[in-house]
Amino acid sequence: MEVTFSIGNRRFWGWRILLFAGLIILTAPILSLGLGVFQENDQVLNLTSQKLLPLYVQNTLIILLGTSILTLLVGIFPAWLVSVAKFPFSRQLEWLLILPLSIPTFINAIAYVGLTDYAGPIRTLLRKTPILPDIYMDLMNHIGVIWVMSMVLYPYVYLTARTAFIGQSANMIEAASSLGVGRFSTFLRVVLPISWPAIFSGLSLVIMETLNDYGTVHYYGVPTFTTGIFRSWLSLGNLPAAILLSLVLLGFVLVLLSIEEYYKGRRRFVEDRSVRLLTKRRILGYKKWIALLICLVPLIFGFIVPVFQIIYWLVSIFDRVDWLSFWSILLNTFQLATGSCLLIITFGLIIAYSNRILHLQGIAKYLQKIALLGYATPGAVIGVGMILLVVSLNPSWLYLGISALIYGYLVRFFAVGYNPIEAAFKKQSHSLDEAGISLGLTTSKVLTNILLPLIKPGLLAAAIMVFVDVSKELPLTLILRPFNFETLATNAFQYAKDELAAQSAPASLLIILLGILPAYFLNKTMRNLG
Amino acid sequence: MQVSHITKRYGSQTVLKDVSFGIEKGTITALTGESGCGKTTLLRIIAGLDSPDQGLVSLNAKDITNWSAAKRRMGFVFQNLALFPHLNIEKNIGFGLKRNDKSRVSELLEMTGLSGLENRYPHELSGGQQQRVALARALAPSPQVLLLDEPFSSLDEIIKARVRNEVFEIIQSLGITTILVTHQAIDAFMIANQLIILREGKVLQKGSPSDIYQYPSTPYVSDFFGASVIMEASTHAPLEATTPFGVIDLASRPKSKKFQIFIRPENITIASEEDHQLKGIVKHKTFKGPHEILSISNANGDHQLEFETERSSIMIDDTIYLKIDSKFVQTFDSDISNTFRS
Repeated sequence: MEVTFSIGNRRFWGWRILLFAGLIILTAPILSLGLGVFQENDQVLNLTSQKLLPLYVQNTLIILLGTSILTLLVGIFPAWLVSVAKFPFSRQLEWLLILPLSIPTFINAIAYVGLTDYAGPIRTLLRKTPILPDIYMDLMNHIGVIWVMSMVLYPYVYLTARTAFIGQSANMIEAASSLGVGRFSTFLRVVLPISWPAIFSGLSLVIMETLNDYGTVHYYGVPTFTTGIFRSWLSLGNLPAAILLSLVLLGFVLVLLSIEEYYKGRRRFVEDRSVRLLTKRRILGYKKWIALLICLVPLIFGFIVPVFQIIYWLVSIFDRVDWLSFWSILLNTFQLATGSCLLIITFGLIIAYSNRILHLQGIAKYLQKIALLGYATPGAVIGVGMILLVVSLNPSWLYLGISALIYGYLVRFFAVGYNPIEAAFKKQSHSLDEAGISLGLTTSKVLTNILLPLIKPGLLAAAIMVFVDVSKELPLTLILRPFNFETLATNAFQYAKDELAAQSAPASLLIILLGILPAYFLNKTMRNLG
Repeated sequence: MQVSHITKRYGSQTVLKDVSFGIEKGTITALTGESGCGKTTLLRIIAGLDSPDQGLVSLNAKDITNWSAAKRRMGFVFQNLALFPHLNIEKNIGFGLKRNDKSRVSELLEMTGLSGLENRYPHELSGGQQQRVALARALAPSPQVLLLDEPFSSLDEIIKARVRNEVFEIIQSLGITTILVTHQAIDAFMIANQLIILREGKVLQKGSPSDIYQYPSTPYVSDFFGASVIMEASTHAPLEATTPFGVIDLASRPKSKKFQIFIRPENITIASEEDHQLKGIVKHKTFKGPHEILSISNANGDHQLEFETERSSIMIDDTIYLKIDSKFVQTFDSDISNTFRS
């Protein structure tokens, strides 16, 4: 239940103004995209939509469908096994299975091309083995895109499914068994339907990441909405077409979010009061090796194989790396990540604390919802919104270094930083604020002297998540970066596009290492929820 | 059904120790005892949801100890009901049926008074209705045995009595072999043909409810089923017990010279000076609506006695005279009392 909290009849005008200003800044790019509907150029629009729109829709839908099915298959079964069974390495696999989350989709795409091309380890091995024929492996198609994306995105499904399975009431399963229903049938008829709302929240993260992806589909030459937006704006300078495509994509995200909202409502009824949880059963005989194999497949193809390929590249080109320019790329990335981090945490603190002392109503409430939408919105869409905003305010600002880029990150990753801060605030009793006020502190002193020290762990989590997300973000960076400004992500992508995939290894490996941090945090949060 | 020498351990803790009893077809058995006595574990072993470390469960002279719960197909009503939240009432009840047998489902809906609610979901029903759905679901596959684990514990006190009557009526009308786990004496009294009292994983006493109420084997059992009056006593003549309050008759000869006697308070009657067995001085009266609790001390003032009785005009410091029918007097050996009194 929401606890409203007031100190006397004070209205806190200062906080109200700060909150409102913050929300306007956060929502301006998405709102101006919404207003962009009214200023389209019909002719250009018709030309684009007639020729390419159906292709974009078709490709996007095929990839979404394929990725959803594959991530569900690869996520749910290992989650079920590690939740209810004991078999060799099951405890280690519980967290190892999350590691693929540390690899951005486009880096996995690059690694897989390296694995399967003529000089790659698979075909080299095939050629060197006398009896085996050399097989031409082509990943540059829908199946390739679906495979490389699913192998690193399945942990979202795995994590939410595991949390749902762990929280499952043992009685429910026992009830089915006392009614004469077998174990697999119980899984299909009881466990899965009850866990579905939770699993869907994981699946919707997969879908959002799939919609956000630009690197993989561009590299593999499968044009989707995202590539369409890039092509319209960066190659053709056709802003109206980019706006149209962005709006369609945004509409899709909104539909997805409302389905998730519907499931959230249903979840309350499905949750069980029982405290008797499932106990893990030891799997015996040959079946335990099958269980191990089912869990190893995603780990091998989502983490071990691509990381092996990248390390192999790194070793092979180590002497030829231009460490000086790598160092400057690293500095660029850290500068962006640190700047965005500080900005997002400041905004997060102001808005979370205003929410704590004010009861938000009307416009502010809706603005806040839109502000939190950033993470669900593909980077390319935010990029277009940013351009539209800047163009209508002051076009020269676009060329003023990295400020537009940092603004874009603020909008896109605000929710990533805000959620842990808000959660940390919620854990602190309101009596603390009241005690401070009664001792004569101002609200800003209450925030800095009482609450900030208490929510440090939440701030740290927020900072790490934002830092890593910014470091690996590709599409938004490509749209908003100043000319020739390279980050780790754009550097890796550029080398791959220039057929110098091996050269992308240092940046890729660093991004993966950074990515392990939020994977660790996510696992911890999920475990606490479970 | 026969349960023989069941023993169950969790780690170093022994939850059930060599438990044996038989159940006749079509009867209702209540397993009772305080929480932690092993009654739920025993029920789960009978259902096949847990397996015993030693011992056998047999049904119709067939050993079913190693059968899975799915194969045993005993109807089980869970303490938290465990209704499937994603299925409507009709599908919940029909869950265990092999084919989509609509007529069987509507038969059960009617029997449990749920007709018209088949399209609702569990969270849309009242606690009492959910209870009946759980019962109907367990009964749908026509099990040979019905098992109920504390079936009323999730209900409010106010509706509990009504739901209990409804559920018991259905069970009795079906004549199905039933085992009920409960920690409430009244559940057991109302319905059971046989009562089994467990304590620390062992069977303490079994028998009909009225026998156990009237002739508990230990003070623990007597306390479990309501108020009791217990006095130290010794015997000087056969069939006589000398207590600090006077001498009372016994129906049978006590085993040892010093022992305890047990009486249900409702079997103590206030008598006249001419015709009494016990005598004391009223020290305290506690008002309890239609009843009152009298605290009485003996003439020396070194023993106290307390019991609930109907309100009387007796005043504090008055002498009170009491009488007890010998057939309601039960004796306990003193060493049993020391072992078992909680």
